[in-house]
Amino acid sequence: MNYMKEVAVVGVGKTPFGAFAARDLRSLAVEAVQNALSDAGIGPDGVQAFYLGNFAGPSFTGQSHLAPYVAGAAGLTGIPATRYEAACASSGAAFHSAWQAVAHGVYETVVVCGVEKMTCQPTARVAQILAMAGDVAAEGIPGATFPAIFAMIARRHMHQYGTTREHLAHVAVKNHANGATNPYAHLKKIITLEQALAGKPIAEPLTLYDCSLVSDGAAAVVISSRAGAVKVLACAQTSDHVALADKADITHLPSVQSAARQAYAMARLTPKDIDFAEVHDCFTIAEILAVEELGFCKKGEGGPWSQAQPMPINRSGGLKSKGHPVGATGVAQIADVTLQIRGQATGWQLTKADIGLAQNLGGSGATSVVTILGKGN
Amino acid sequence: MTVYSETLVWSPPAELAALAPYQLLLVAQPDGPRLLGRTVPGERLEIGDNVAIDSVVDGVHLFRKNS
Repeated sequence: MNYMKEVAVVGVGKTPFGAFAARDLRSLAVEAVQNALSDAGIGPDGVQAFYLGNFAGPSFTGQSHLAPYVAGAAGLTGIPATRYEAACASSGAAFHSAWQAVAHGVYETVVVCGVEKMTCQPTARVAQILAMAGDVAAEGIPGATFPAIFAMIARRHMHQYGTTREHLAHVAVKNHANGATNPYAHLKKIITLEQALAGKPIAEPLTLYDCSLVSDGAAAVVISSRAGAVKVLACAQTSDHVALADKADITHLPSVQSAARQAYAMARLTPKDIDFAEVHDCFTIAEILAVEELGFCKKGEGGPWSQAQPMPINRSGGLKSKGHPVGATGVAQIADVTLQIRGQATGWQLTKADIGLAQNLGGSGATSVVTILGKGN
Repeated sequence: MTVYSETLVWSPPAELAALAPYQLLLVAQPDGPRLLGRTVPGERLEIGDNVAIDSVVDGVHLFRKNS
């Protein structure tokens, strides 16, 4: 595809991720949007469209029609305001559509926000809502929760490639250590390998330490065809079957591989050119699959590769430690990559951060979005 | 039919709390799509085990070892 305009991320705004009993969905989203506008140095009148990524606001909060509900409160009235839903890739998908519109010259400047308010529901209800991102009839009725789905992926990966519990635990230990230095992270708690290995079982072989967090939070970016400090070098979105049983090889995420290959081709880069990545570690096994599909290591070698840590993955703490308000995650990854490239990741800044990649996953791989960002003007 | 993957679920959805821990199975058929179901209570199966459908309860396939 031939995109006529370069697109830059010209503003980022986030809320901390966590459990905020006193905050509602709209107040979180508005805070992120206003922070992003302030960071971009523009007011609401400089924005031509509003894109909202949100997975299950109506189920979690009882409020629907969320895009104008948020946009109006943020002062963004009189412009298109649309909600995107693609499970945990909701705001990645919103970003992809927004980027296409700006790249094609439909708009000059737009805001993309991701938000989820999850902790207002009890854990069992949260699990029930999250299960709606799978095939409810085929997976929900037998009791295949998302931890169970990724546990079956982990079991098969262990069987086919010799991945071990220790490999999974090393991902958790690393992401917890990273999140402990990120002031916006939900869980700033360092854990040991022994703790990770001895965690409460959730769905074997996964323990509590292999699972991402249930969080509230929002993130927003302003993107524009105006020049900016961080350029969007590529963005690609692909899809696959929703049900795990319909996938030919459950240890493979073809949607991630396909999106990554498209993104590398678009950016004229290879995996070796990427300095760091924020990947979708909804479960530790998902990070191991991600680094394989993104081409950072060979298929099947993600376990030992992750243990060796040859490049920075999830320096923010990832979904495991930073938190996973599902609809916010895709834009939060892009915001974090942007901060790293700008040199503004205070307390968790990498020494080399010229080109970064964000990988956002919906369900067990039914939606994938891969975005590559680099230094701009 | 053989077990393609499995997990023992300790943290179930509320409606299946009484069954926990239950084993969830992804079963490969020689000439058909994979089936997602559970192991009959009291049995544990591993990847590669030969299995048969024991019963279908509330639309869910329950598998047992095919000895």
